[in-house]
Amino acid sequence: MKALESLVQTLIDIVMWFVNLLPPVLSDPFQYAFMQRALLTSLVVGVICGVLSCYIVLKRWALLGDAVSHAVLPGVAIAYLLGLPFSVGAFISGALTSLGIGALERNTRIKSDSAMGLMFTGAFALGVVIISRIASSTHLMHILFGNVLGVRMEALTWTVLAGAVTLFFAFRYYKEFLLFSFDPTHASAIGMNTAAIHYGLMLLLTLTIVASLETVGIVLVVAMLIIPGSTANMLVNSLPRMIAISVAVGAVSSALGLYLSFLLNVASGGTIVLVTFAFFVPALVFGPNGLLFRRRRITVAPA
Amino acid sequence: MNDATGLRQRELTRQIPRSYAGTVAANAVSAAYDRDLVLRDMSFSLDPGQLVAIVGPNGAGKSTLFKLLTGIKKPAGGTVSVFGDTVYRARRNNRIAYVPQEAEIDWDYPVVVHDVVLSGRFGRIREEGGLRSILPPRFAARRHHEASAAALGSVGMSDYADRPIGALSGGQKKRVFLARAIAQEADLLLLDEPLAGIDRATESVFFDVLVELKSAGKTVLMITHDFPTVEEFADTVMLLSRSVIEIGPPAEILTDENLERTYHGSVRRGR
Repeated sequence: MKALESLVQTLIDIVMWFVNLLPPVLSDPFQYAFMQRALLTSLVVGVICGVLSCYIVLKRWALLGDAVSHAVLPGVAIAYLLGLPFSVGAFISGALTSLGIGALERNTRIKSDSAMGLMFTGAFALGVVIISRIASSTHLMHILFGNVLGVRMEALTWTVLAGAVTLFFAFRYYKEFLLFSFDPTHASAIGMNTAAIHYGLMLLLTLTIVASLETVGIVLVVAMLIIPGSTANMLVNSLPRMIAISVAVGAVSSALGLYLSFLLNVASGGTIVLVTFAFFVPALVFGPNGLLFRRRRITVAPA
Repeated sequence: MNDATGLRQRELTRQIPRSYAGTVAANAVSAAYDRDLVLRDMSFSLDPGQLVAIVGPNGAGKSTLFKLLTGIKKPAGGTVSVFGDTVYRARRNNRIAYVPQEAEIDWDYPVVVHDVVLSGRFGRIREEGGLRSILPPRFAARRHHEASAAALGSVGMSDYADRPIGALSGGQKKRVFLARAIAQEADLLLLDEPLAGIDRATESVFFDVLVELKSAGKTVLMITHDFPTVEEFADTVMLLSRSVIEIGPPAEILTDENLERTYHGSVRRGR
């Protein structure tokens, strides 16, 4: 863990080298150590949410993202009780819930939207009850809405680790995730294990949500999983480009949102989401696949 | 039963299809959704190098049969074999290609035509192993990109390689997915309603390609409702309604009596 933390410190130093190239108006807030940790956390979260966001949007898993994010609450509470890092508890309860949702919809007549609603409200309620017993409402607020300015080195290390794992799998199984979201029957016909891909993507989603909790919190993390991908989808027609733009939107709006929240002294999670939204709106209106230009695509040149 | 007998029994059941089966063989297969049996006690064996038309009413189990053959669904009972092997092994060996119906695909998906056809090569890329097999498809060896381009050419769609898939007409989309199956170089092609809503030009491309594939020894299974086409092009027709009603050459099988048994009198053959 110590070796990892020094690695994370090196990452912070690298990011700060770039930040210090900026004019002082922008770089001054980042001279505080807590702001440097917050910046790296936000950047990691922006990047991995950007990657996952594309698959969530294309696979129509937005509600699943919402479900898993709420379902991590009891895990956080129980980890707090046992003195474990809360990301571990969050991952376990998020993963159990997403597997439970998959099992319900595969094996009963309960449809997927109801399966998600059932599991996540149940888990969330359990989390609220446990927390009301053991912790202050400030704690609950931090978990629900994020507290990126208070991120400690240990939590940041977990976030970086989760980010590295997510990026590795997203790159290694790019072909699998592409076909799984585009044409799962073809994926299966050429010998891919679609059930494994399904659960694997669910676990990556859970890991991403857990890594994002301190930045934007349970309630708003789903925004970071939907908006960057939707923004990119308005602009381009190829998955690699969509991922690249989505990652850029996620990372830039995380950093910018953090800066603005410091400057204006407002909630960081909400500010980050609002900045992301500010990228989405012009893309929605003026993007090549957006409202103004969408008509053009329908016309097709003859062969 | 001790372990040794169990093992021998398993070997036997694995070998039985090998001895009699041609391309696709089903032995007492059943399939269910939530306890509702869609296919029951289905048995047949198909010879290689044929164009087989699968005909039957909605809910007859046609798509379910394809789900069994693509591995999306496991049979509730019985065994399915493809080229004398398990479906799993046939899939891993790139012997099964699938062409979806139009409703299966999200046409807003951000892929261009070349990407779609190249995805037919993913199984071949995996077979090669090595570092390139785990990188994104852009980094695949040049021959895979060339095979995709050639397949696209064989359906007359070379000029569209860089178009988003959603910008194509219905017939052009069908051609692209046929090209994906060609690029895969599979031995068994599964076409789910390939003729629904396509223009004459695409239809003739389809039949040129299918005749070529057949002469190369490939087997084509095609779900269709188009009786004139079945009579003209199919070597074998399978009438399906929860089980195989009849199977054989179209001229013998497509009788009013058989169709009535398949469709329960609701549809008659007409031109």
